[in-house]
Amino acid sequence: MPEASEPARSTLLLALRAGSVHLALTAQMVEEVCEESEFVALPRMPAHVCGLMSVRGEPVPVVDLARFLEVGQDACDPREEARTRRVVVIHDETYRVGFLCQRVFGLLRLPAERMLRPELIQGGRLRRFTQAEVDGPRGLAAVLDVPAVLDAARLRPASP
Amino acid sequence: MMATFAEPERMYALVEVGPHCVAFCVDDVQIVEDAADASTSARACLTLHQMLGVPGPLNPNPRVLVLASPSMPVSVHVGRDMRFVALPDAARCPLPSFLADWARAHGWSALLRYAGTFALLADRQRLAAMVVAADRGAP
Repeated sequence: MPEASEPARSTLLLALRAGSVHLALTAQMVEEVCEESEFVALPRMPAHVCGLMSVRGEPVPVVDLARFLEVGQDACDPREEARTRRVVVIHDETYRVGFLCQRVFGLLRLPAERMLRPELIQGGRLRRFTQAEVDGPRGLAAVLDVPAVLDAARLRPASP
Repeated sequence: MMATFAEPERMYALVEVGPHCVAFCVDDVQIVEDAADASTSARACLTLHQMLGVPGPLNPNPRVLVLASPSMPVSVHVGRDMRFVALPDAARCPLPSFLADWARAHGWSALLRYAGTFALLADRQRLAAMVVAADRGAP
């Protein structure tokens, strides 16, 4: 029998901004948030792959989320953006990848009922990779379907 | 008293082309010669620039790196700035799974940690097959 004090089911998310949109990632998939460092260029990469970043000596491929989702860049001060840009290292069972984003706001715990079926999120390819939308403290945010993003963004032999 | 052994090392030829650093294991290299002295007519030949998709002319009189291939030797024209370095086996790290299939198909077998960055380690057999195919005009 559940205890009377058991908290309501909630989800922990990492809130961030990529290009002009607010996004959220399931925190369980987030390994760490790093400052952007120099990327090692790889030949014949699609535009959404920035290259490799060294995370404690290990090579981590980095995907530019704004480019991949085709959500455009925000019209903010480039110097300010360079200061706030971060790489969020995420992992699932198969891949370990960095997501380049323009700003990380922090963790957000939301009750499960605040995770809504995506209806309002639009723009670029974003809708296709949105598993839910939440009305957070900074407005509407798309909760990314990370495994779907990784599967679509990964490099296959036929990639250009 | 316990004997200590140095970590085994391998020699690599490192070539920088544009923003990329490519490594060839010297065990895979038959000859390194200046292009002016090379008799490449009997061999399939390609420039590393073409393989990497990097525009721009080669340096004057580039070096030619002849790879030992099971079917036939192939030549890769590389720039002048080639270095030989000895690196421990620990410097070799596997390709991240996110790009492993893609990288293998493009002729790379692993990454090498070197001077705070990563070099692409060439897969001799795959690269040789690509050079032969490109030399015959295959897509």
